[in-house]
Amino acid sequence: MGYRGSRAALVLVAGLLAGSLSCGHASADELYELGEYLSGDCTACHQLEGRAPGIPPITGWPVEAFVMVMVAYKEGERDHALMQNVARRLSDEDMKALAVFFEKQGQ
Amino acid sequence: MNRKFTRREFGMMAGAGVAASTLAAPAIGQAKPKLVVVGGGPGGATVARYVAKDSKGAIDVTLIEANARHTTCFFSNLYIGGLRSFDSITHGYDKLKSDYGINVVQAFAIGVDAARRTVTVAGGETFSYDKLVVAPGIDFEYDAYEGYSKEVAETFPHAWQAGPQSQILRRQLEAMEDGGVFLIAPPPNPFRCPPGPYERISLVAQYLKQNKPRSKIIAVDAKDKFSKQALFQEGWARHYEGMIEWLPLNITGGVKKVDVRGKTLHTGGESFKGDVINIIPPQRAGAIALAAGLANESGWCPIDPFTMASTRVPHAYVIGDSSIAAQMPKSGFSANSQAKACAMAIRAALTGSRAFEPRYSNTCWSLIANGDGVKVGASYQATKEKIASTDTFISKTGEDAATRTATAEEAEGWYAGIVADIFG
Ligand SMILES: Cc1cc2nc3c(=O)[nH]c(=O)nc-3n(C[C@H](O)[C@H](O)[C@H](O)COP(=O)(O)OP(=O)(O)OC[C@H]3O[C@@H](n4cnc5c(N)ncnc54)[C@H](O)[C@@H]3O)c2cc1C
Ligand code: HEC
Repeated sequence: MGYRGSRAALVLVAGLLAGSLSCGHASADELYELGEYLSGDCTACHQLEGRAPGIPPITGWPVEAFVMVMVAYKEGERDHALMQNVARRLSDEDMKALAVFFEKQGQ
Repeated sequence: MNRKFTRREFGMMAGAGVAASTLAAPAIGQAKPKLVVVGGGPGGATVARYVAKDSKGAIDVTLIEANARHTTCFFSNLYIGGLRSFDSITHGYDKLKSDYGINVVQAFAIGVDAARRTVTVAGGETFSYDKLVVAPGIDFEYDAYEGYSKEVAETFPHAWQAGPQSQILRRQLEAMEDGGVFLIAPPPNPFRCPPGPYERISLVAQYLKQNKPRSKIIAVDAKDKFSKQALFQEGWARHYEGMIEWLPLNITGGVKKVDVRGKTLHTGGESFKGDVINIIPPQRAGAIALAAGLANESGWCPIDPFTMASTRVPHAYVIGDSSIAAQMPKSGFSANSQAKACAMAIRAALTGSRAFEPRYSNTCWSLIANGDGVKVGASYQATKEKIASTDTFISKTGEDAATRTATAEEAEGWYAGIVADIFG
């Protein structure tokens, strides 16, 4: 979780989070619902409870940190062909929805 | 904030959630809409679990599964190669019952009455449904080769449905003398788990190298090329030099005839003798899918790429290996992925819940040796015509040992994760 994002990632994350507060595009509940659906794409590998070698746990992270890591994979700034592929299929809103959902898990 | 997707082709699904009048009417006299799922593998168990979990009790879910426990095909090559116990790849349905309230029925489904919306099981009991998911996996073309049959498969196991078949193959390998020949006949396309036969060759090679190093492996393939071929062949040369002979279709013409007493596979030209013989026959959708009229002339079941709904039988869905998921390979990962899109579509149809754009993905790891893992994966998108691959990745030849060890470890983590996602 000690990942420090690039400038590009930081700017994107800041924009994302600000956007959600001001424009009211999707309500918190709607975001959570989208995140819950999309999380099925992650739980083939990442467990909601329990741990296993080889796949890091992703629950309980602050939203910003989570989005930053996903953006870093998507932009190719963090290396890992598999997770880059995962991140490339997610829109900005998808990533935020996932962050909102996973933050609430495993607590 | 721009959504990346529009509701173009997906309007019909979104629409299903809006007007109550378009919801499937629950069968008469029932308080809750009923979902019946046939088959408790990665496809069926996942869809049952997700519908039960996300509908929070609003949908009555019955899972009809022939066996008390499910042995996963994925990682069964690790069992056959001696890297895993049989128990560690075998899973029960207790959590689906206790934690998700799913009615798990141990029975073999033999028929579907699409007009009455009922499923009949051996013994005669029937189960009525509003929506039906059929996820029976594969069946075999036992008449593909002269002299081959279901009975012969007890002697020359396919081990392509994990369970007793895998145990027969393991016992035969253990009993084989040093210097023996393991003869394997990989199937033609399309079939369950495209890299599977080659992972099997790898892990049998590893077992033989350690325990019976004078032995040989001969593969008489029904194809001229195969999944992750460059990665496997590089690995075979590195780990098992001189042990494996892979023969493409264009050299042998493929298996034509099986001689049980002579322990021989005859091709158009040459004949091959084996001490342990693993015939993986051509495949089609599970028998119940054919009986229900879900399959077309190809032997597989066409579906709507957005929902996995059958294009042939109303109120029925087909997921996993039985379905024609176009560019998605027949894998446990794919079955699990399809199940989640299907679960969402079923909930939307039965309770009016929100339907999002379906997401599909797959990753298949293979072990070339213990601690030497490779992977291939892709994202997929539903289009009107098919489930189409949009973005892929694959391990590279010449990767360093640390990368391969990390990949093998990921596979272990994935196994634990997906089993939890399937069986709860
Ligand atoms: C050796 C091998 C290695 C593999 N490795 C991988 C891998 O590493 N990764 C991966 O993703 N995939 C892998 N696969 C593929 C994967 O196992 C299959 O794609 C997956 O099991 C398909 O799931 P399914 O739910 O469609 O069918 P199945 O797993 O076959 O499940 C079907 C279930 O339905 C039940 N059933 C069938 N008919 C009836 C009936 N009429 N009534 C009641 N119950 C019925 C069966 O008992 C079974 O439990 C591998 C396969 C093999 C053979
Ligand atoms: C096919 C398996 C797989 C799937 C599916 C998958 N991941 Fe991952 N994920 C991994 C692996 C392996 C890593 C470790 C990658 C690395 O070393 O950078 C990882 C790493 C991560 C990390 C960084 C964790 C850390 O401690 O730094 C996050 C966050 C993450 N994944 C989120 C997701 C989300 C969100 C999804 C679903 C949209 C998802 N993953 C789907 C396998 C997967």
